[in-house]
Amino acid sequence: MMTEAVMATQAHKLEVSADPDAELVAAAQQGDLYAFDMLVRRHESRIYRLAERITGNAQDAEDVLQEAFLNAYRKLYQFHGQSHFYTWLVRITVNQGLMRLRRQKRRSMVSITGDTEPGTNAPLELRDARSNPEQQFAADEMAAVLNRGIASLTAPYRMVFQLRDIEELSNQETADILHLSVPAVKSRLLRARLKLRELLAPYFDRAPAAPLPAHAGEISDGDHSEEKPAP
Amino acid sequence: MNCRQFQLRMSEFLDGDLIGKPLTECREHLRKCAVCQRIFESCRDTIARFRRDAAGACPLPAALHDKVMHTIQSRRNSSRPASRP
Repeated sequence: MMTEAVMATQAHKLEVSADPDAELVAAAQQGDLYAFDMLVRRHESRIYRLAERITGNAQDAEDVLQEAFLNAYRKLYQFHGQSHFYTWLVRITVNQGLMRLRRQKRRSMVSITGDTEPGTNAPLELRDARSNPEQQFAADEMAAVLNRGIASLTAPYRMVFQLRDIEELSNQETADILHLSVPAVKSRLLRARLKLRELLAPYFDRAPAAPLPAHAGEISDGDHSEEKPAP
Repeated sequence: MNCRQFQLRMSEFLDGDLIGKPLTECREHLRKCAVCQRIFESCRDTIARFRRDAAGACPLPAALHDKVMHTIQSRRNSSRPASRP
């Protein structure tokens, strides 16, 4: 009988074999720069946003983006398809971003805990020409709310949330990239999710119900299971 | 299962990582507890918003893309080749 571990490994292999970047990666590994250009185009927006979330500002994000793709190109021969190419790229970007933060910390002794002053991490304005001004305004407003929310998390929680819930990496991949244990990833993810939920729920609730109890953003000590669920 | 126990399990429940008794207990608790139901739903919505926002990331300006590729091209000869040595 197949164990869960074996099934998980087989599922992982299937998933990796279905990497949508596989053909372009193979061509780029043969020296095809056009194929690498296509890979950059495919992933640059998400990689830029990831870099921005790590560094907290647009200029550093641009630098990290450049360094990440340059490093990916240099190390492409080391990529053997054990993960999706995008996951590998995320790993490189996170390493570049964290290295940059450490260098800045050494230079200026500025905290890298993620406590940024308002306005210091203004994102690059990326406007979608396809949407009309009203849609763009609503999208900008929502993006700003999300950016403020995630920027308010301290770095350990922000990084785990970014990799697990936005980049959709597994617990194990996140743990490997951040040099954490899987239980530590799970614990930080739970705290980050609850904190963001607490911060952002007022913006998202179309018809806000009665306020949650004060402890709702933290792990509750109480039991409200006698309360009737919402219809 | 009480609220504290549910909330400690909520991430795994959200991710579909629970099976057997813990899964049944979480479902049962959610059915009975309005507060945890709202916490769970807004947590799920929060994650979905971030994913939609990331998926809708606008294209980078062409100038930035060109800058990245120019950097790669200009260092191509001075760095290790991409193809396997």
